[in-house]
Amino acid sequence: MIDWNAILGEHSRAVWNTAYRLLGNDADASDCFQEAFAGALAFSKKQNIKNFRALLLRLTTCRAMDVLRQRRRKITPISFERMPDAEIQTTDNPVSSAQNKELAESLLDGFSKLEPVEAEIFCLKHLDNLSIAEIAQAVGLKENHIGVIIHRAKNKLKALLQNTQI
Amino acid sequence: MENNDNDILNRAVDELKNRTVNRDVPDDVLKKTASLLKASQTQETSMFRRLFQPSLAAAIVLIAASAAIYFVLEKFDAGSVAWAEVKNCLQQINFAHCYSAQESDTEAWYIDGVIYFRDNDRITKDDGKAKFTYDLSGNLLHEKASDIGDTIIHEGTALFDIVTQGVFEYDSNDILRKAPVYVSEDLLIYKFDAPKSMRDWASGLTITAGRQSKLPVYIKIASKNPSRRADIYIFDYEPQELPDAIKQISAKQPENIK
Repeated sequence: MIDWNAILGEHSRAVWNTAYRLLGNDADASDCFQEAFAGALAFSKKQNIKNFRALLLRLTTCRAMDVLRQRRRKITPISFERMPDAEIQTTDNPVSSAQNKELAESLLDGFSKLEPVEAEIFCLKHLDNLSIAEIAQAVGLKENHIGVIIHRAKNKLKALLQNTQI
Repeated sequence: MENNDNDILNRAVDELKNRTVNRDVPDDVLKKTASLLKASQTQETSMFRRLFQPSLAAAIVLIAASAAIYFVLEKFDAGSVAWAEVKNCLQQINFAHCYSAQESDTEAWYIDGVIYFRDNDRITKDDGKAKFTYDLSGNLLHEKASDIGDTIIHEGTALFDIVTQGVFEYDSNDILRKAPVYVSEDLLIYKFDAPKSMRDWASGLTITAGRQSKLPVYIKIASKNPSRRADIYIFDYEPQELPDAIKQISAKQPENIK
């Protein structure tokens, strides 16, 4: 029997970080957090889970992307600017500036314009640092295919970000 | 140029990636998740129904925007009721009650454009602008943007499009091609693929509507898991005595969060 308490203890922080990083508020992050664990539980009833972290991060990212797309349709973006500064820790990087913050906001907006699978896989690779092999296992695609999707997502995001700079 | 593009993307990724939330997962979220996970191990039931409230919420939204149903039905020429008559019916709807056939702890009401949703010890009120969550004593717990806002109040977009694309995330062209799978003297039955938000666990959705009234009678959401019973939501439209908590919440303006 799966020890869900242990899984919750081990992965809750990573799941919460992923949800909050993408969604930027307690209410949405909470829903996303619970749905990720509920999704993992449902998944575990159908097949063995080899990598809980990868699966949970994937489910969290999927749900967060759904919310980002919903926000975009409703044109009610919730910005990180509204998060209390004390809750966000930024790297002590001198280049980190208002411009970079705007870029990050544009990137979040860009995710909602990509194909869902592209946004999901890009986030898992570049924000959650999962390996190509872990992502391939979590989403059920071949590693080569993951590489192609990441490449495609990057090109689209670059174009989107470039447009916001003009 | 290429390097510049890469630089912009890298900066954006780094900025987002380095935003680490200092605060731990809120205790109430952890506790609720832990207790639901625990319950699900001893009971094959309601984890989904509790966490995937959107199924019931989506069902009641269908009623709230019941023009969508009329619109769908009109397209199919499935009955002999004149459209003018249908339209009259539509304009009179200001109350609907939706509840699960299997569970008594979740139900929803649509009253004059506002949706009330009860789930165990929480009641949410969504007026199309904001969604307020209360405890059973009527204390406001939190407030966030409406889940269904545009569905009810948005102007300039057909209700059908808002509901099918906005709530259920269907492609309206697909929906328009649908015909009832069953037409009897009394009933019209439509089958739809699972909405995107339910696609992980639901295989499809069946809406049964009265042929004369054109009002949904029940919605069945079939699970992909063959061992799990379908969720069935029943609708009625007769104004009725509301639970005290709903009456209390509907009567007051939202105040500060406690």
